[in-house]
Amino acid sequence: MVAAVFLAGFLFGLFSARAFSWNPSDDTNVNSRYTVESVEITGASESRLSRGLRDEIKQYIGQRFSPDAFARLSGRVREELRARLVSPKLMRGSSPESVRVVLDVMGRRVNVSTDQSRLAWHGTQGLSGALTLNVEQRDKQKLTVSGFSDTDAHVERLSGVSARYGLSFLRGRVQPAFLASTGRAEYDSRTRLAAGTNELYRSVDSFQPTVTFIPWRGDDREELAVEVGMRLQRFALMSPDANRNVASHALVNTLRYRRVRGDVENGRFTLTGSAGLVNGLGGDYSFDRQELRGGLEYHHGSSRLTVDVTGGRLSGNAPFFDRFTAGNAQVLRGWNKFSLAPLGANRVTASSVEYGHRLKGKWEGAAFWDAGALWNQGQTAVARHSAGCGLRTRNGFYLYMAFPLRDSRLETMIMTGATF
Amino acid sequence: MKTSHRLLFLLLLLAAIPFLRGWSPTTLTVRKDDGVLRVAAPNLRFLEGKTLRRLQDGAGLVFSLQLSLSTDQFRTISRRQLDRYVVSFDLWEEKFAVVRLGGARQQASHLSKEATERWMFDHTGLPAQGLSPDSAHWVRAELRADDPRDAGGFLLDPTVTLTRLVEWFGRAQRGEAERWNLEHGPFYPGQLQPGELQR
Repeated sequence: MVAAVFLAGFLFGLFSARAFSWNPSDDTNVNSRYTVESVEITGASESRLSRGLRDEIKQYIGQRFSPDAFARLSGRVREELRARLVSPKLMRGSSPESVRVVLDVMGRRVNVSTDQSRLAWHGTQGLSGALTLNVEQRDKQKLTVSGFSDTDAHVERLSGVSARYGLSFLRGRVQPAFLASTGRAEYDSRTRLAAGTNELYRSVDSFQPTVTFIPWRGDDREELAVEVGMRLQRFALMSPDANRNVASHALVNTLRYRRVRGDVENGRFTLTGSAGLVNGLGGDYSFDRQELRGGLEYHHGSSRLTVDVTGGRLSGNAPFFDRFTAGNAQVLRGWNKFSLAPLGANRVTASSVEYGHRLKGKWEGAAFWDAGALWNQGQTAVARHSAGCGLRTRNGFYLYMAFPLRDSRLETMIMTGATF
Repeated sequence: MKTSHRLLFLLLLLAAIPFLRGWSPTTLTVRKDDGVLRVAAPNLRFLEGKTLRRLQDGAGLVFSLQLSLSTDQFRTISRRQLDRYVVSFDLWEEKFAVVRLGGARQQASHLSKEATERWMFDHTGLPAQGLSPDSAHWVRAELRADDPRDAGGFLLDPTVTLTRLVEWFGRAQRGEAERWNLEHGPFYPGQLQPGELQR
């Protein structure tokens, strides 16, 4: 299994290599004797580029036109904007012997991708995966259809299908969306043993209309987003009373912040944060859930440093779907989530520090330290630690070995996976 | 047919004349210059349409021109020459410039479109020494404009071998509209006078 996932990651890396960018050298193009008067970008907002790249573009002004340099520059603009094509066009400048360079960004009118598809294997949880198909009309609408079997995010394994349709208005500042999903739940034996009557459900159907507002966008991929919505869920219980359904309806509100500065060559700094509030509206469950997440990533040259923190609090009676877990592939890696809390818990706090160093090509060696606690209200929180190391690529492949740090014997947990 | 209809038909014919230029056959002619066989394609216009627009946008495009000589109607090739040219368009002077790549690098600028097309054919030739003067020969000219996404950087490498270029040249490419093939023959080298064109 590990070999299969490893192979999938390898093949993905092989086929996602960027096309070789090529242009005749400078001395063969007669226009290389002219001076660049200005560099303009059409088809996309320049503010979507990193500050480093914008500064670099400015440096070309006043220089001799270099087809080779602008071919490379176009490649970088294309990469940052994720555009289909960026072609440099030359036009006469306002004064003789000068030229204007126009980088024409051509986005995909309809973009079909499998972004967010993934396959992962965890030593105790087994295989998880999602095959996601996105059909997007850029800045207008997006349909996402997904088939999934996930045992990592929740206490239970949920297998099913989901579909999300989103629209975009006012240059992406208002984005209404609808998400519908249906899934079948399966449980680990430890969860089955610990669960009370009418606690386990066999399936869950969800419908979630939301609207995302972007009230503020900074000048350097800085963005604040507020998502407000409602989640309607229906659970079919595994109770002796056959076909008993219960409902859980909640208001789901999330505040997200993202800030990206610089680029990888000169040092890129990414800061993300989110605050999620889920308030039960009624039905058979009644709960309030708050979760805070923060992330910091710094890339410079061949080094990467990532710091993540999470904190969560849950009060009332919530379905497994909303309870916190740890000891999975995200939080307290290396621990067994069914040993820590087979039914999940209503308090969590966790942090992770990971350092990565580029080895060769796309490969990166990484080492991490995770710390955290998962407990229920009224219990004493026990701090746990784990450490690990592994390999990963920028394309999303990873192979980690994690060790829970405790007094008893040393156990190794293997986690591997790839995103497509 | 009424007179008015005849008049209308005549007017339509007159109006179509400018568009008939492209219908003239694209022939290849052969001549001998200082022991070198050279060809010309007076009716071939390849700096047109999309290619021309890309040049006018400031791009430098690579053209590869291959001449092949055969004595058996191209079942076998007896001699071959492949040259690479980079053509660019001067935005301010509105003239073309062309550079012949490789060991014997040559260049010209301030050329009209037609002169640029002619220049490339004039600078690719096949050695005529040793050809049997009374044998029938056939010559083929193949020209392709290279999409930068398809072409590797090796095209600009002066040390690239002819074998590698010919192998690359033989591969199919995405835009078949960017490829032109012309043939001429049979002709007899002994009947070619210096500078004389044989149609």
